[in-house]
Amino acid sequence: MKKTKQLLRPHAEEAYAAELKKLVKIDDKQRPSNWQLSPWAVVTYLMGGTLTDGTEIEPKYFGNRRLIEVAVATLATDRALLLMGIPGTAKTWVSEHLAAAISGDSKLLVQGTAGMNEDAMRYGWNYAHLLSKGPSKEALVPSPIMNAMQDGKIARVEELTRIPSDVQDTLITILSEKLLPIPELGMEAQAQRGFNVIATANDRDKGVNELSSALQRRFNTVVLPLPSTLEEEVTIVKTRVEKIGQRLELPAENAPVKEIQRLVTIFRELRSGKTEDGRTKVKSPSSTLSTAEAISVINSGQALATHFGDGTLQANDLAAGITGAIVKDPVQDKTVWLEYLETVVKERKDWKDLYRACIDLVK
Amino acid sequence: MLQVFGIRHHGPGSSKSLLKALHNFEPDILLIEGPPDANDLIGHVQNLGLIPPVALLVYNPKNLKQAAYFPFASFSPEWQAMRYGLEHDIPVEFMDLPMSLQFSLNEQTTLNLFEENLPSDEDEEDVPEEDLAAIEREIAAKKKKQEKAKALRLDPLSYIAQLAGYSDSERWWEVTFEQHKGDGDIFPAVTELMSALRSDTEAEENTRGLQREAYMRTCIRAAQKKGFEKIAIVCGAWHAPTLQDIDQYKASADKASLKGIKKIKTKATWVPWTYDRLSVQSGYGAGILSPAWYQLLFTDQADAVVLWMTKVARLFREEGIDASSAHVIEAVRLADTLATIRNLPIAGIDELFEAAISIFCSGYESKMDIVQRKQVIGDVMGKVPADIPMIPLQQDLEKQIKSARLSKEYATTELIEEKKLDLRVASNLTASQLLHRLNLLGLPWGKQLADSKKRKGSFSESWAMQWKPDFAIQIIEAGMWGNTVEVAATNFVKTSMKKISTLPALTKMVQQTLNAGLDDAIEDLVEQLQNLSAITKDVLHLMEALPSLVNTIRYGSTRQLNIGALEQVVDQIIPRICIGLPNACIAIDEAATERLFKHILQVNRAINQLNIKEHNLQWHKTLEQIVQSFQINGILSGACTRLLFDKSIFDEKETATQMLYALSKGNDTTKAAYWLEGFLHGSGLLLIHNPALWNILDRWVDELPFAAMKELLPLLRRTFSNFSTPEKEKMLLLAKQGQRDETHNQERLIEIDAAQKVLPTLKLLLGID
Ligand SMILES: Nc1ncnc2c1ncn2[C@@H]1O[C@H](COP(=O)(O)OP(=O)(O)O)[C@@H](O)[C@H]1O
Ligand SMILES: [Mg+2]
Repeated sequence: MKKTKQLLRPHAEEAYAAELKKLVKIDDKQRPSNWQLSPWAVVTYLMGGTLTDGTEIEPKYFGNRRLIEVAVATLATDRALLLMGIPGTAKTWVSEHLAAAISGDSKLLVQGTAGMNEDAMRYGWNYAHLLSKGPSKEALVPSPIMNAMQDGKIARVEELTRIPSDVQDTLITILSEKLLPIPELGMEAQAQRGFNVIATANDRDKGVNELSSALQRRFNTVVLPLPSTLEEEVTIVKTRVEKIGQRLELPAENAPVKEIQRLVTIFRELRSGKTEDGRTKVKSPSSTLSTAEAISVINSGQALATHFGDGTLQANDLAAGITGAIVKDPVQDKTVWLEYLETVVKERKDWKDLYRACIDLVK
Repeated sequence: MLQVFGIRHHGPGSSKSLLKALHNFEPDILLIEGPPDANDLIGHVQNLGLIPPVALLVYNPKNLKQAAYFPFASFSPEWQAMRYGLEHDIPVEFMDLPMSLQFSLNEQTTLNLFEENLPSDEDEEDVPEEDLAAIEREIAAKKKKQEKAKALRLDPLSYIAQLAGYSDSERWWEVTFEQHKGDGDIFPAVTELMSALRSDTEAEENTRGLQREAYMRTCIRAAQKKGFEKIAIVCGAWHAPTLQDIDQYKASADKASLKGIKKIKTKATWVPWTYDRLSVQSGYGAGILSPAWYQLLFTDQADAVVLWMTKVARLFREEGIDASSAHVIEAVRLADTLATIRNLPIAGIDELFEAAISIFCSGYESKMDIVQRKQVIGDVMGKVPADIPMIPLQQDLEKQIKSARLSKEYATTELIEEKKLDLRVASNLTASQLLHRLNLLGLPWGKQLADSKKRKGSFSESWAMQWKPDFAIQIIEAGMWGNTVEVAATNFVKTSMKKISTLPALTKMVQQTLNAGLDDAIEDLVEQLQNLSAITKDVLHLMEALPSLVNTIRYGSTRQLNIGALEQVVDQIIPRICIGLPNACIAIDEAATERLFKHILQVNRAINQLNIKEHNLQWHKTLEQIVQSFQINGILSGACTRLLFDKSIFDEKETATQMLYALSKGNDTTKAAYWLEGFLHGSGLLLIHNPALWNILDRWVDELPFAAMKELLPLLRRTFSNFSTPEKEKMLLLAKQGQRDETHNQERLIEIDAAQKVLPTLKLLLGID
């Protein structure tokens, strides 16, 4: 217990060990082979709720319960799950918690990159061993996916569409045959029940390495959307900021709801191209302005306020973060942001401080 | 004996249970919750030409705002009950409180409500603000409670289904009532359930509901008196307990509660309905009513899940989207598993829908639109045969539709048929006039497509055709104007033109009336037009009216219209515009300037088209006046300069002078930029063709202080970005060609020189590096 407290970012199964333990105990519904929990309990773990014994389960994902139900049902029918969405819509977050709830282990992770080769999906070799003793089981270094197969756990593949197409295709055999041939040893690794894959992919990356239709067919896809209402988004940011704040040992009293509200409003308005009241059209910048970015802007603002300010979050502490998140293209985004400041922010009664703080930075 | 069958309106499960129960019971009379005003129409249910979805329409012929629809699908229990009764040759009657009484009750309730809600002035002043807020909250809470009670009364079974965690209440019905396949007598259980529910105080029945139930009991007693021995009562489940326990209610009390209600004479008819309307109709937070799915549950319950998913796959295949049998299998599995996670024994429409999103649409719900339309709602429209009573206008309309060779049988919603008409063909001309007439009468069956309006002078029109079931009431409503479409439309025009007070609206009506071929109305209209144009002070209105009048004159001949009177009107309007315009340009805000800019261009085009010497002269003088004025926004004077240049009233030299003046140093740079926007509207090629003009612009750009440049660049770019891409390319090309052709003669070289100068500035303005 002590150890996890000191980690900067403990894995989900450690951070929420207590909740998971309670759920295991109380869960009397049928569990698919090698699942720690029933599908119902997995959904409860993600969406939160009160158990029959009064235990409170914190919500991990804020949003449409039905989407999480589709995701869990997918995994329960032995189909691989692909989580799609623009950056910062909690794809990685959901994937980690699903793995933690189902397999009790979210660490079997392959991070997709452009330079990746097949070994990262299958297995590599310990060359010292290989040279001295020739190909053997001992010289083989299994990939996280291979480990997951052998242990009947969930493997996670992050940013699937960044992986080169031919390397992606390695997954086809794994997913359809549930086995991994090892020709060098004349053998194969067969997947245990409970093995499955959760992949995430970015909407905006479209066209980078689009999934082949053969691979696409192995997945059920769930698109995670941006939060649908201002209130929902503020709740997400607030909850996450508090959690992360605890970890960074920032003073806990200030969940700066007002600042979060303003920030989320700005992000939503710029994203959707119109003000929340629907009256004014605004231009959208090239930046994503996801919920995740809102969280990190508030967090760094809080750090600034704690270490350099008077401890309470002020417009000044946020200005730099906001500007940085919005202005990714120094010319166009800057114009957009300026226009928004002049036409929207300036006009709002209680937003003068924010206007001044931001305009000073841009000009 | 008396048996009550409490059903769920439009519930296919109820329908099946009901049929089973009726077969067991073998009633000698059937009383159905429905409007007795339409009793005579029940017999038509056996007419093979009456194909559901259809609705009974009950209306007050003297006040068509009083109208009520009672829709039925083939799977509606009431529809099945009527068929059962007719097939078994027993009397079938409606027993709800007649609309003839309900209409008059409605009048009273609206009156009462009005009085209740009207706060007196004193009250308002005395109440402090916090109290007001509290009162508002209280009202909101009350409203919420009322809404809940209403939802409960309307569809109590789906309310219970939701409590049980079902979003698809039909599935709940199946699981709850149909699993015990025995003798199918589930109705006593339903009645009991409703008794319990009705004892909940929040669900208290309102006065109207009590009156309706009293009336229903009165009907039942009448049937008993007539000696029927096996009376079957089909009603919404909610009412079941109060009809079953009829002996606990006093006949005299029921009579008393209905006493003194005024009776309004009603008429009734069958009208076609659509699944689309059916799904909108219900609802009330009672879960989505999904007609296509219900239809499937009614006809193929056992295989409904697989059938539905297969239909979806086939639909996607037609759209060219991958959808193999493997997909269907995965989708069905996913839907079933989803149901399990949700603690449901079988998958409902929501599970199917969500599974389909994940499997067929890569998670994107937006791709499910077609499924929503065809497999959730269903693209189905009912039919009503010709031998059902119609009002005279309706009969004439049917006749007109026939002679115009049109047909009103097509799909609903977004599927809009496009119809091309050649006005030289007699039946097509009839069709066009009919559509225009119906539009005047407020029945937009056809919407004329813009492109056909633009292809002027041609004999063709295209129309987007979309018949809507609720036209039925509009036809009846239009019946007050006359008994044929032509007479009704003529009378409508003659009456409504008197209420029109602006010129543009009236010219629009003139055009519509001409197109509709309503010769009898034209004379009156033109007179009205003359009067109105004489008293119209607003130049903008005159300017707005002119182009459409000119259009009508130019193309009136296509339709053999009498246009002489219109020419007179135009001859009066143009001088008035010319007099009023220069003053109208002064001291106006940006939005008004924009509007005026557009109107000047349109009027200019109209006058060019007319091409009458006096008009031209007068118009050009007016334009010059605007150019000369100091006080007018740059965009307008720029535009007028351009129009004069285009007509060669201004030569290059004169134009250059104007431009120099507008772009001179002392001038406000923003105003100059606006001037350019007006001057270059539509095309910028003249800059390249006229080096003198280009040089002025180039020098001006050159000399702009950097700060001003930064400020103006967006504005300038807006001007240039309005040019079409081919035009931009052409400008660049012209500029570049000069650069390349260096071997040519002296004269050419000057041009090249000029062109080389053009290029950098041009690139800057076009926003190209
Ligand atoms: N709907 C949401 N519910 C809970 N957390 C969210 C939500 N949207 C975003 N987040 C938060 O955003 C952060 C980043 O999300 P992440 O999973 O990395 O995004 P992605 O992988 O989609 O780019 C996480 O800390 C997560 O908690
Ligand atoms: Mg991620």
